[in-house]
Amino acid sequence: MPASFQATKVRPENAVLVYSFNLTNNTPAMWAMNGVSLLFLFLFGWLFLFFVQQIRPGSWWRFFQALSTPCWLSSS
Amino acid sequence: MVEVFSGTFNPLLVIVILIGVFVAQTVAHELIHGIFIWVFIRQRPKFGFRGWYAFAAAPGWFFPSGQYLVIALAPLILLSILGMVLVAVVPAGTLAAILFGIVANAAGAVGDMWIAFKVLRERRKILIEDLGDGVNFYAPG
Repeated sequence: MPASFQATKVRPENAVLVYSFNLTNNTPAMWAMNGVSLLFLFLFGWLFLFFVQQIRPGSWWRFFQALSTPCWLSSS
Repeated sequence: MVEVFSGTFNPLLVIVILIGVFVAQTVAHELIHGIFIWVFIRQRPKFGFRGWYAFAAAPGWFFPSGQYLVIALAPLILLSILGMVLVAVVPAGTLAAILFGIVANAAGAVGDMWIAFKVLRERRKILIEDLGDGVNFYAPG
C-alpha cells in the first residue's frame, strides 16, 4: 500500500479488508449502540452538569428547581 | 429568547424545545462531519438516515487514519466546546436547553467514538472507507 496521507478514491491493489462493521446488517450491534448511547446520555449529562456548575455556579439548581415546580404551583 | 425551564413549567413547550434542540444538534453534528469530509476530498459528502441514525459519509473514498479521526471526532469536540462557551454567556433560563444539546450530541457520538477507538487500536497502517451505516478497514496485503 502506498504511503499516502491523502484520501483516495482508488483502493490500493494490495489492500485487503481487515475489519468490517455494518449496523444495518447487525441488529445486536444496533441495539448495543442504542444501549450505550442511553448510558452515555446519563454519564455525559452528569459530566456536563459538572462543567456547567464550574462555569455558572448555582445555575444548575434552577434546572432541578423548575422541574420540580409544576406550573399550577408556580407564582408566576 | 425563550426561558427554558425557568418560571412556569410548561411540559408541551419543554417537549417542543427539546425536540427542536435535538434536531438542531443532529443537523450541526452531521454538517461538521460533512464539512471535514469535504475539506479532505473536495466533493459533496452523502447525507442520509439509517433508521433513526443520521450520517454523513463518502462511500468509495478511502481515508488515512489521521484524516478519519478528524472527521469522526470533530463534531463531538467542536460542539462540546461551543456548548461550554454558550453556557458561559447565554441567559440562565436557556442553560438546560444548551445542556441537553451538548449531552445529546455527546451521546449521539457513541458510534464515532467506537470507530475512533478501533482506528486508534489498529497498529497497521490502514485506510478507512465510511459507508454511512458501517466502515471497512483496509491494510497492506
